[in-house]
Amino acid sequence: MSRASAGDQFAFADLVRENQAMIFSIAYHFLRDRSLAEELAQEVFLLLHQNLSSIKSPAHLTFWLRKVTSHRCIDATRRLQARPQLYLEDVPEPAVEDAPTDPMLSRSLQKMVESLSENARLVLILRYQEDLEPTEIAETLGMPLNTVKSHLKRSLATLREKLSRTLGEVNV
Amino acid sequence: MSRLDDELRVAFKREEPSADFAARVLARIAEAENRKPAPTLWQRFREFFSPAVMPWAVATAALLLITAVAFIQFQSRFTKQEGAIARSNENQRLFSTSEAVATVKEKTMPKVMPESEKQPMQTVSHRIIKRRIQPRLPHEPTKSRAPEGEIAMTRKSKGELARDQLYKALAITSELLQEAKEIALTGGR
Repeated sequence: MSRASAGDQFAFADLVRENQAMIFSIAYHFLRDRSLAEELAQEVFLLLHQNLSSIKSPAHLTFWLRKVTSHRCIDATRRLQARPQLYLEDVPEPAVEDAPTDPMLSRSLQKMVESLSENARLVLILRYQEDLEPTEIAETLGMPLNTVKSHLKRSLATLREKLSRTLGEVNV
Repeated sequence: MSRLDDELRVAFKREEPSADFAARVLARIAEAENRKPAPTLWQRFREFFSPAVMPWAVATAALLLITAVAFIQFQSRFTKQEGAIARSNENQRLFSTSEAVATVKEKTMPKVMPESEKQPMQTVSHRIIKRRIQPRLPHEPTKSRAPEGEIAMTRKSKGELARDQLYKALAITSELLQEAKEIALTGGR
């Protein structure tokens, strides 16, 4: 990281490769659009290049990247206001009645998550993609801890209810 | 850990971007650096106070400060010296004047007589008054004119009066000169 701060382009390329999956995945799970997610991830790395001198440690780097990506995701959504929003009630229920295979369930879940509010979505992504604790999520998003817990609880309850309705007796 | 948690972890598993992602990021950085806008005034100001320039700026400021202080001190000392010379010249002139006044005083003042030889000073007017008060005897003939000796006495007494006034004026001048000399010597303190 120190070499990248000193202007070593190869070291910076290594930093990009190490963190690109994290940044791209947060953006992709939030926006559900690969090209938009890549664009956003590139902007985040450009910002990182400009602010490398302010990064003190690898842990700080990860925290900084997650925080900037989260904020950028919310900004991007606001820029794309024209894009039609999908609500939980509008999500088509899977046609299959049998116990679904994991890929299908995952796709259903992702579509259901899309209907959640921006903050609730981010909380879920950071909780289940990055495996962060509620306190870490609160720090990253600059949100009160109780708000994070409340988002998690309500989002999970909504998803559980929806999945139960969709999948019948499947234990979720 | 419920099944929903597991499913959410699967749904949100990390994904890789396209293979040339890092290369495209680096290209964008290079492009951004090439079209870097000209630094603003604030950026130039901040650059001026960068750690590389700061020691030189401090050294220059210190040098200027030292030069200014030295110049002010030199000017103040020079002014003081000029003042001292002017005061000394003035004292010299005062001494000369004082000596001249003393010489005049010595020449014009009568010599001090011993107390025993002193006679009460009687001016002409006193004498005239005395004569007028004195009753005239019936057989004494009336004088139509003052005698010659009396006129001379009156003139003499006028001269004495003038001399008295001159002495007083000289004494006052002498005192004033003395005071001026003291002021010049002490600097008005």
